[in-house]
Amino acid sequence: MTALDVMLVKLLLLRLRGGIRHRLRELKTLRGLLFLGVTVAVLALLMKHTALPVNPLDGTVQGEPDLLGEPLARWMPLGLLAACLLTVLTAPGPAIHFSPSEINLLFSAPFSRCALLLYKISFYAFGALLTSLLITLLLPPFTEMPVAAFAGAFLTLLFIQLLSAVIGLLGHRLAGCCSLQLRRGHVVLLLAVLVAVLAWYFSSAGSSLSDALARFQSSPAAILLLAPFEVFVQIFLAPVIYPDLLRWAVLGVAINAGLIAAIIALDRSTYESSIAASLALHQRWVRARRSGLLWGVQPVEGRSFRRPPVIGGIGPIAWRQLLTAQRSYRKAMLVFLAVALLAGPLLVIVAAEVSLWSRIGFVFFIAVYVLPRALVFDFRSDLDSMETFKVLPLRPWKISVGQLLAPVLLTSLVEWLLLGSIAMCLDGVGRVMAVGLMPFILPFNGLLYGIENLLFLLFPTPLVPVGRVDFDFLGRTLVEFAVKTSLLIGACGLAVAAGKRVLDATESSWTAFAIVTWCTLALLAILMLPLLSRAFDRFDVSRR
Amino acid sequence: MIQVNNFTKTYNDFVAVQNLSFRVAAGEILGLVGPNGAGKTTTLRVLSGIIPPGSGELTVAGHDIIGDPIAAKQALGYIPDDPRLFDTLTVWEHLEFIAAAYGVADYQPTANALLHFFNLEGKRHHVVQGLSRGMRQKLAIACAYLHQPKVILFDEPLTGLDPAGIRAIKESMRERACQGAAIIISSHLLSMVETLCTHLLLLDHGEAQCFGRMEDVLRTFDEAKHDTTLEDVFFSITREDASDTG
Repeated sequence: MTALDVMLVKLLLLRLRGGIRHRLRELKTLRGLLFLGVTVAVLALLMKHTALPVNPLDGTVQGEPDLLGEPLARWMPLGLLAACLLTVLTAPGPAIHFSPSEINLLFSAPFSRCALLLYKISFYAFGALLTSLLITLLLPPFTEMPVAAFAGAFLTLLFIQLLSAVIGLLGHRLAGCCSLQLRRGHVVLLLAVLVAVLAWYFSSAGSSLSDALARFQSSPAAILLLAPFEVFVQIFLAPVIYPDLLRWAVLGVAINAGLIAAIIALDRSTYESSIAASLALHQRWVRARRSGLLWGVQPVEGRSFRRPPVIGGIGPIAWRQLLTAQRSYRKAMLVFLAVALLAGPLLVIVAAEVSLWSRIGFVFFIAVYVLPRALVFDFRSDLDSMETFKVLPLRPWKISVGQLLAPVLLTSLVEWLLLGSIAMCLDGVGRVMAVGLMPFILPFNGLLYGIENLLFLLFPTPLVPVGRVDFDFLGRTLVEFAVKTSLLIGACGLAVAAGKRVLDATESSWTAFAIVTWCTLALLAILMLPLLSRAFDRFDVSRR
Repeated sequence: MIQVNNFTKTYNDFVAVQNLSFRVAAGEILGLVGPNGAGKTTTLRVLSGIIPPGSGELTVAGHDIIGDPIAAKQALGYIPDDPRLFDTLTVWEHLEFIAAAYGVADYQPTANALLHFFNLEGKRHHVVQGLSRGMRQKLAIACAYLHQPKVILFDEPLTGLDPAGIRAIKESMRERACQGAAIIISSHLLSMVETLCTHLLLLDHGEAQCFGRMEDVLRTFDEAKHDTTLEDVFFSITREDASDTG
């Protein structure tokens, strides 16, 4: 194995220094300070949530790490296997992704392919190192020693990355050998069928899902399949440095080294296709920056539609976003509409015992996290077109309304169907609640997309990750979700509180409660407009 | 038509444009030249309302760009160096969109004529994502022309165009100026600026180094030798400036 070139090590260090410099510069701005503050707050919250309870009298820690580590030991191997498969199936690009600048500058430089691969793997390792530090802060209740948590997290992250790369390269080679184009969709379908058959087989005795998974884990095939994963679980749970941690860590390092050797060997036959896939991924990422998400497709030709409605300037903006939805998100919309329609029957079949609040939680999760990230046709998909909007002779509030109209209406349509489907399959309080929530969807989505777009205009960043491991993106998403959830809960709480006051004043008139709550929510959504307009007006295209 | 008085723009501590004043009357074509980072694009972006000015008075067609931005934008067409189009719309839909946004009534004959002029008729129903750089540039210019603006700002307008496209766009610029539009062209193509523009503004380090009618500027530098070109003037000024600062 050729050693990593000294110049590439230097480049790695320079890039690391550049990354730190960039972060430090960001801290000088209000935006950077806000980001840091929210990140620290979210971390503190998570640490507090996962910390073991301390006896206030004698200061001793209550609860046994052994007991808490038990579920980790039981489920982690399966979880790691699932994580690897998910990484392979959901990663948008090649096994080892090189950016266009790396291809242009490094591929033509006097470096061997092996050195370049090692450089890239080292680059991933740096990212894994930083994430491991974060995990170490959150894992103490489940492990005996912080050093074991750190070593375990680092080696496991690297293992997932390397194993998924090996699987990806094997798939690539297989596709080349068999002269057949394995499409990602086909692989997903095959795996789904396999999982369904296994689930049916192991749960045929009428046992619960956890029992079925436990039976699967104890089968000879699963023991063989999960053996390498067990090594990494043992690193996490090692009670002492010597011999446990050292022994398992050495084994983990050996497994990772073996995977690196396999990547180098497999890469020889997929070199050209790997470069093409890297460039294709970059193109896709550039397109996703413009159109919002990797799910969007780009049509080449389409029937031109008639003149858009003017409506004081709001019309053409909304018309254009609806056209984007129709052209690029038609399939995604159809999938969401189908899922929404089937949600009720599925909930009845799969989870008859699931509580009402869990169902409400499910709807909230879909509404707040899934749909706004999947249906992106507003300011967030127009990062590269902001100049065009700035030049238009339209007031910022009109542009903001035009931008929000399409996503609010289409998301509401999906959610109305979802609630309708659930209401049809429920009775009693559940049905009343599902139907009762329907009118609130429109103002809620107005508020939700208002917040999403406001955060985007204040902190404009692309909505898609770069490559397989974009820790920056993960961090931003975490912080954004925390801020968004806090704002939404605050706004909904305010609306419900206003309704409650009227409910008390009118001696339990639920109609009055609903009207006041709806109006408050709608008012809060409308109040987002001046904020959005201000943020759009202040959006400086030259500084992004 | 375009009036700029004491315009200054800074980014944190960096002064992008300092105390800039110039005017462009109807029918005039001003060539805006200068080295990279001289402040050309900043000036155009501020005039088009994309970024706010730091200080100074800037009016477009008699409308203050801060006090009356909508009226100013209504009279303005801006073509950036990298045409920003909507990837999911067709060529024709772009023209439809612009017509609706600018409130252009009975726009179809003009839109058809523009498509014909820029040789885009065959691409009418093509989504712009699949168009070449040059075609996208032509469409951006067609969109900017559709509402018959009184002021047109071009930032590197000839990038990516084929010879026929270059000729067509130069011809269209002259035509628009003859019809009474005030035009600013920012470009590094000095020979094009020299032949096409009636006036010249040379920026360096955010400051105006010379401003006036093209022949007057050339004549000023004509003392040493005859047939002075804009290139001679450019290097004469920017080298002096570089040696001053160096």
